[in-house]
Amino acid sequence: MKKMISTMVGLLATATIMAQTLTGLEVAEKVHNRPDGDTRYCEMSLTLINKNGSKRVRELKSYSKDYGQDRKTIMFFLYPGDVKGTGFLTWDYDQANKDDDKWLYLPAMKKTRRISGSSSKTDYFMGTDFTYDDMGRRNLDEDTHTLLREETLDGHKCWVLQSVPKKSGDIYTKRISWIRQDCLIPVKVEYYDKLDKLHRQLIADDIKQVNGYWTVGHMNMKNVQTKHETDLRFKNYQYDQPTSDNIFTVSQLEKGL
Amino acid sequence: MRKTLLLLIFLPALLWAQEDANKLKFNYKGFIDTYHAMRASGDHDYMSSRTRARLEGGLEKGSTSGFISLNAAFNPIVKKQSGLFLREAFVEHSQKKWGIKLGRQIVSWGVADGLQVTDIISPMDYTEFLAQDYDDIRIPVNALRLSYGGMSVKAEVIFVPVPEYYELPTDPKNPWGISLNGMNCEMNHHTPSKRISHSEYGARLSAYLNSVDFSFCALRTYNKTPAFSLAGITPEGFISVDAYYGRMTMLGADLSASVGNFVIRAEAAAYLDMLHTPKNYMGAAKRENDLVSLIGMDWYPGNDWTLMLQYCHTHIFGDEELSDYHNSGMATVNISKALLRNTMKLGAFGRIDCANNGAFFIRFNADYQLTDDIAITLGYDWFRADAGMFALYKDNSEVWGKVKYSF
Repeated sequence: MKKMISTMVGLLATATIMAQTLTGLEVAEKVHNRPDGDTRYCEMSLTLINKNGSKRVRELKSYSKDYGQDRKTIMFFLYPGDVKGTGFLTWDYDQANKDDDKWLYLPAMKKTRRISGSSSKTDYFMGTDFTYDDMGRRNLDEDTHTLLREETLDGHKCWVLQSVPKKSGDIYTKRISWIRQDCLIPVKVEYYDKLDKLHRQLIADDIKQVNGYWTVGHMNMKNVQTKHETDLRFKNYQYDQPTSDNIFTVSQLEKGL
Repeated sequence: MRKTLLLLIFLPALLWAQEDANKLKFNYKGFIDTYHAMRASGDHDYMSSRTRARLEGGLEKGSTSGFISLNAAFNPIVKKQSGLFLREAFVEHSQKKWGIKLGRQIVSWGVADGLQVTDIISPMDYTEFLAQDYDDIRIPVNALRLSYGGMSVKAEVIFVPVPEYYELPTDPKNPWGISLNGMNCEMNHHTPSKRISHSEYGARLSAYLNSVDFSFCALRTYNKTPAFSLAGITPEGFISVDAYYGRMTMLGADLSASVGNFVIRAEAAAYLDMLHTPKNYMGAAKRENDLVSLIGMDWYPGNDWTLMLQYCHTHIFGDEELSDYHNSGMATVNISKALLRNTMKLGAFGRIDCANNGAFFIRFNADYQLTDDIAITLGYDWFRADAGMFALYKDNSEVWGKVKYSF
């Protein structure tokens, strides 16, 4: 019994020391490296809601595959009809100084166009409240991460992490994330503008395990200044399905999925 | 007849695909739109008036798919544009690295925006000049395409048994009809006979690498815009013009590179033995070599702005006296801005004819998405020219509007 108590005390002490010594960057790395399979597929429905309550809907499907620390993603718009078939291919590189490769396929033009790999990250994705940066994976080196504190949110123990962009071009000056310690998912994120006022707030819920991986089922991003918000729902999430490399090519972009 | 044959080719693929409903994927999309344009000066007469329904359907089973696209249109100004038209109809099959695409299809090569340098397989339909949607301006071709490629490299060969040519309007009732010295024309097209030796064939090798794409291509083809020669005057008082199409070879290359917020585009093609219109349209068509080169820049400054600039220069070698300049240039400016959470888009696409005192054609448009399915577009087409191609349409500046329902 004494041995068991001694072991438990020892583990607790180790855990406490680990928690105390954890830096902001280490927490950010944990989130960045959270297991999410080598390949993934999902369908997304984005509902844009303005302050009067009127809604617009965007639907798309997405495949992605990891190549070491790099990730390739191909997505196609399913709704509305005027953008149906529009495809977007991204080769996302983990190195902060290496621009991503991006191609856009416009079915009306029957043409694929290379687009800038670095510019559109701060633009809003299809008029939603999510930026292109929010929809992808931001390089860890692009921000300075500081662990502010630990606190409990909705019954879950969270790290509260502040991330400040190193460059001045971002649309926010700091981002504060509440990261659930059990699943390493940011369940609440606040984005502050240049006047240090809250600009947007993200809430993630419907968190569950799919194929053994923690998965967010629903996100809501609200611009608290304009009262516009975007509801993002994921469905048919699939991980580690056999996915050919040929899917992530310009040829496939032109053919559709 | 050709369309019927294509449908016969296409139907078995659809029927076969229906045998196994469990694995069958079906998708469709389309739209109904109505477009009307009115001359901005003079009598304010209607320049265009068309209402159409587009239906596109695709069936896919495993690695085989079929696609069909149809237009049903009503055009009271250009009567021959009314009716049911087959646009594209093809079957496609792909294995891990191989692919085959057979049927009527639009082929799009190169990186130029709205200009044709290496992109000459699918010609342009100028029935209503450039006052149409871009995918309706491109003329599909009946082709067989074979491709082989991996992650970053793609090789393609194409065979077009019967090449298609530019559609040039001569109907005097069509405000976009072509005239010569103010007189209406009647064209006698001398297109090559439909023989296998007169087919079009070529290849393209493309690479997609980190920050840069490039490709090389070669095509045995014909001049898709004819070389003209005066034939006389018809009893109706029209100028009769012979339109000649001659065998030529195109060798080309293109490049697209991402540099920060910019994408630099370049494209060049040598047209070997291209047929040209003689000076004053008198005498036989002349053969010369041409070099067409284009440089372009796209700028994505953020905040939903896009700016695209291009300059395309054509040099005709030799010292024959031609109706075209031996050196000519066309610049384009394409600027757009999305507003109101992408529900409104403002844009302008301008073409400047540098060889003809800066003659230009600019298409302004404001597009508003009324609902997810309904869009309203208002625009103004502005011509200013005293020479060159745009001078044909110097009185055609127009205001236009379009309502489109997509599904």
